[in-house]
Amino acid sequence: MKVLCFNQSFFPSSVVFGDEKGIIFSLVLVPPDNNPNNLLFLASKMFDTLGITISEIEGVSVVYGPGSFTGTRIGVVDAKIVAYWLGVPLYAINSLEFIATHFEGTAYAVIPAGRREYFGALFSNKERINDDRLLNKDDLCKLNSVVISTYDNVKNDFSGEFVKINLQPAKLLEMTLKRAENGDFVDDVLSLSPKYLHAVDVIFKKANR
Amino acid sequence: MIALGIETSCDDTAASIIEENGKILSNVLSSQEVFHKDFGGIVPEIASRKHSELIGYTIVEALKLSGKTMSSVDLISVTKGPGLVGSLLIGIEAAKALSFALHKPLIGVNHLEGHIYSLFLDCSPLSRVSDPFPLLVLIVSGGHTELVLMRSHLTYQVIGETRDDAAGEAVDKFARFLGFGYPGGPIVEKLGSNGNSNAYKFPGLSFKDSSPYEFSFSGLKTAGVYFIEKNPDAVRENIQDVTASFENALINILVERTLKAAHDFNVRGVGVVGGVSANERLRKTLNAKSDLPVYFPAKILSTDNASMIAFAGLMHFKRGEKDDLMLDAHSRLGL
Ligand SMILES: [Zn+2]
Repeated sequence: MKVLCFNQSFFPSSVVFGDEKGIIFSLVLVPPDNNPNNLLFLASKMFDTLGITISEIEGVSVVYGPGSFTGTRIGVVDAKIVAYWLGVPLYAINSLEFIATHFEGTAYAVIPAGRREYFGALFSNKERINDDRLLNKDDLCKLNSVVISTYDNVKNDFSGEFVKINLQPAKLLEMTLKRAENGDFVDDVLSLSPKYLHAVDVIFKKANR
Repeated sequence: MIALGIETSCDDTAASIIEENGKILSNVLSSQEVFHKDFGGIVPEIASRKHSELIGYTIVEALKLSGKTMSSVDLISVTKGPGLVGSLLIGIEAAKALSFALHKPLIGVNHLEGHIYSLFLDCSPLSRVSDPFPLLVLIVSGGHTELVLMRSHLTYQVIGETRDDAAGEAVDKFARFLGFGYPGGPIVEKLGSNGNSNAYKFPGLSFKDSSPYEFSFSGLKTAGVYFIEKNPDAVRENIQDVTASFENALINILVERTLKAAHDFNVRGVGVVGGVSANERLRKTLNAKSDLPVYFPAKILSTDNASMIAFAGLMHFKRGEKDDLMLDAHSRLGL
């Protein structure tokens, strides 16, 4: 099954196209060309260059957060529109679970949430131990475990053991294919929304304080 | 030729299907007003969140109502700016994803140009005028107040803008001081519709000669707020006259500047577009004072909609223009 997988939810944005035999192509955006809304353009160039038609896409997945609000929304809109109009299943991947697949052992996967806050969840050998939550700098310092992230600057707010994750698009492909195998797709494709954790009224109050 | 229009520049999620001649087959608008009301104005993060929830369904609904299928759509036209960048990005991304998935041509449209083209849609009287140029267009809304000279299709010369607040913004702020909540413009219009517009005196422009085509509404807004503070009795007992007088002062500024420019540039007609162009007092005053033909869009097309975006996009597309998937949002795009 050929699936197209998007991650614009956290740095680095990436897209991977592949099937059970492996990656057909993958792209990881790095600065300065890391604008998440350029990913579709680059993906379309890959399809053209490799002579693959869009109709070969049999499933779409997207990292739906928690993460950058704007980036996640862009990814979710890309994925749900493409899946809906191609008439293929859509799979929603949690951002912290995606990070956790890169690490053996017990670790807190975190993504900066702005204003010195973090989205985080604890994993042990890729299995989730607790729910996604919002952590502040103090919470982060109190964590009694390894912290993993794709963001280098996380270690500035944290004195414990930090492991920088180098994102592998192949992991996203693997997770997507597993979802497909389990029939774990989004029921109403157009209904998919990002996972925010931050309520809007909280953001509004903070912005207007 | 069939065009799909997508508009998400502010707080309404809109999609539309139109035919080549500007005939509207569907014009769908998912209003977010109820979500922003409690905050007293548009909260950009709420707008972006709601757009991303609504965009897919809005497009599907527009197609359904038009009786067309996506395969019959020849062009995807989307607002690229100006507007709230987070909101614009949702419409743009949806348009790009459709273009990617279905190999449809894509074009990004300036929102202000969209408003101008609301005048040329098949249902507007201007669409039946064979040569309307030169045409003077007043764009007047909560975000914009500017005079644009068109010597032909798709050419624009901005001859005057507001120095401070947009006209709609000034009314909204006045309404907020009266405790009417958001959006205040329609409430002021409704209350003032039966009031005496000459009951109270509000100031006009203070720089009449130096910049004949520029607008300013901050002085009027300040005078309005000051009036509310100093005259609680009038506000309590004569709110209809107060709102009518304030609205009248604002409209007089718009009308005076517009007609002066129309005269100086020797145009054949005047068009008025944007949210405030739905205002009945503005329509009546301008029609009464102008010796040139004055054109307004249908009221439902005065406010933001996707039909105008679809049509402006079609005009560009017919000239061989289109965009690729690098299309991006521009919050401060000018004409
Ligand atoms: Zn507008």
